Amino acid sequence: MSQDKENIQARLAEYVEGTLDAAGRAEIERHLQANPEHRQLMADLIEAKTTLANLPRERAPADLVEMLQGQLERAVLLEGDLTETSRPLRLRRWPQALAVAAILALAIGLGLVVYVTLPPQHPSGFTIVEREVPMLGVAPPDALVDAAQPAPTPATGGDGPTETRVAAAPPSPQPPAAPVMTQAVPQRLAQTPAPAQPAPLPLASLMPFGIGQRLAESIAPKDEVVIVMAGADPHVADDRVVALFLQQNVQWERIGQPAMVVSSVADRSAVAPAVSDNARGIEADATAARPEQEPVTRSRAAGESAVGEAPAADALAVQAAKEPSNQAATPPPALVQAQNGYLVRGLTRQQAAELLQSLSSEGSLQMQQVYNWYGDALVATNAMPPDQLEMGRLLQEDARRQTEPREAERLESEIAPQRQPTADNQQAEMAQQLKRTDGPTAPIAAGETIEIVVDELVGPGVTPAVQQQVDARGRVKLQMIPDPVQAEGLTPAELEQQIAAQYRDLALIDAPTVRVRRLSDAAVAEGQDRVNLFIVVQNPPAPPAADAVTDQQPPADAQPVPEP
Amino acid sequence: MSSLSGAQYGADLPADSAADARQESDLLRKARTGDRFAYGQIVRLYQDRIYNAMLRMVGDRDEARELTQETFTRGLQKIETFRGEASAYTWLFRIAMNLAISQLRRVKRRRVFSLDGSDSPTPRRDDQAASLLHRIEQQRQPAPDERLEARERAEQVLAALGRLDPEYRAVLVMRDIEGFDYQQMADLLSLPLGTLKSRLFRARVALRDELLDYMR
Repeated sequence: MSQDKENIQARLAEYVEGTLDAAGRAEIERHLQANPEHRQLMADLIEAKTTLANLPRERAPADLVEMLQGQLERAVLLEGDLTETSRPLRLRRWPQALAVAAILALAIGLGLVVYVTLPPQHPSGFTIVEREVPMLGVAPPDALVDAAQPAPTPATGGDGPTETRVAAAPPSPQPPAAPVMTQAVPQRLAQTPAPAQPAPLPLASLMPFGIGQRLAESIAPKDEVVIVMAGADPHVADDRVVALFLQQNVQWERIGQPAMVVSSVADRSAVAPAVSDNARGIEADATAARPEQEPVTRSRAAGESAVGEAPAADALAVQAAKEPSNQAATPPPALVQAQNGYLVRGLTRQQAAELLQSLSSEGSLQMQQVYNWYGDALVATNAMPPDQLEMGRLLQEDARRQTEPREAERLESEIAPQRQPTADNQQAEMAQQLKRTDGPTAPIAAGETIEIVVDELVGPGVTPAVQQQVDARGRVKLQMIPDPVQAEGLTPAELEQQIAAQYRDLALIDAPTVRVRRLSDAAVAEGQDRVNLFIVVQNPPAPPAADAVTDQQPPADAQPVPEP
Repeated sequence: MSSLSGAQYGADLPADSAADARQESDLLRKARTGDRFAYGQIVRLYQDRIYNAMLRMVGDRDEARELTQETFTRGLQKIETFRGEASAYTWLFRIAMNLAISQLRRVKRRRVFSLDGSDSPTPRRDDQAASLLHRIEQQRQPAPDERLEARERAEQVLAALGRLDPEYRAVLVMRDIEGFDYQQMADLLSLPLGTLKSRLFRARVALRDELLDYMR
């Protein structure tokens, strides 16, 4: 508001109040004579003021002073803090708050009951049965524990993000004796004769494009990925895994010792109670068997993001076995004892793929299995039976159907690994990678939000990232550049060139490196494609058994499966 | 209460005399040394005025009572920080007004996020003043005598006051109901004098706009 206008309003206010000096009053009167509508306004204002001033007064409620006096007396008697004694003054609202809380608790309780008791609906439309498939290098049978009756799993991908988990097992004093592992397999696959188990092949020969890239293609939105590794020395494995986390700047949580992996995935809420009891038993056994074991919570360098040790049941809850609840007498899934489990939350698919790639390249660890929330293989490993591969393929197709808009992006990523990056085309590869991760190269439109990164704009080594919304005229503002730059109609790559030219022409940066990406695409990638990784490192693998698929019987000490 | 020129509360207000000023000063001194009984006397002295101002601010008796209680509670909590530069009532009124404006802003925010958060002038159920106006409009009958007419006018004004922005309500209550002078208002609201007067004028225009249908 301009000063003149404020002054005029101030004088008019004083005129209404009757506090204006004579000269000012005469001036306003002259104006009002020439403007009858303004005279009416001033008359209305005076009337409203008079009415307001003459409103009847009301006394304070009689109990106000009593309540406050009582409060003061209590404060005097108790010699306490008044802030505590003042709370009863507002007790009148507690019944409302309690009622709301009770309704919320009831709603949540009903929701849990419905969730637990309703029969499962497998998203892929086929029934899951329990079969045994060989698991290389797992703990002895006495380490296997029961799990609960599986319950339905949510629709594809579930509601939670994907997880990658790793755990390491201590060296076993005795060689593993015919370990088995239950695995969820589609009914139509289970009805077909089990194919002969292929001889294990080197990991690299099965994954010519790199396991990380294959995983990036396979992970469904909001997926959860379990990575089973094998390491000869749990301490070395722990050091290596943590070193990889630090290298890749990812945050992780330990999932307790010993970590347990349910070999087939089920509803976590149904399995968790039984698993929890067994896990405690196993943990006690394991502790007794390895008195020299180092505690899980080892001191770490400053900045380590591990949030501490969680009970083994937490890991188990995430690894619940999956099977339909209406299937009678289903043997409970087996648990694999391991140590040094890690949970890495909220990675993008690309980050998950990079981490997995690093894990697969780690010489002291062997990658045995990579499977998703449903227990289905995501990538081929040495211990991957064909039926798992088939199921994984089906689920991959399902995931692809759900992510149809990303087909072009996937195509680009499939083509890209076939190129052999050289020094000459490295920059082109980086540009291609940028396009691949940042979405299509459609022209930028007005209203879009983009991120602009100009390397070393502020100073050496400083790379500020600025978010800009393209204005209605299709322009964006840039740091240190007076005039906005036209962005609408340009692809991100073209806008990068445009911005680079601006900085170069103004002699601000000799050779500017500019990156532009759409935040709308990035938001989709980061918000919906988050992946959790659960990494478990266990004993080193043993040669695969010939009778790969056998029936699994529940252990003698198996806990009863709670009925949903 | 010499500093409260224009206070029109009648018998419930302390007499505007030097003796009462001395009494207030004495009570304050005792209260600051921890004499809770003295503070209780201050409460009894000003509770009606604070409550009435809060009622005009929020338009709801329960809310006004809670705000009044909260005002005195906070006053007791902070009495050791009271430096005596203003009167005790001005100091308490500032606490009360801040509480009321905060409360009104919270209410306004709830309205914005309500499902029917349009800007239509239809009265909302969470606004007692507006609800009262709505009821009056529905049941409006020609007033048979002046008393009913005066009552209806008062209700219309209160309802209109309840529809104003909290800042506008505050200056109108402070000026027309509490009788603060310009400088006191400017001090309480931390505004320059000219800005305070300008806001007061705009508040009057806003109130008049709300009452326009009724006044014509």
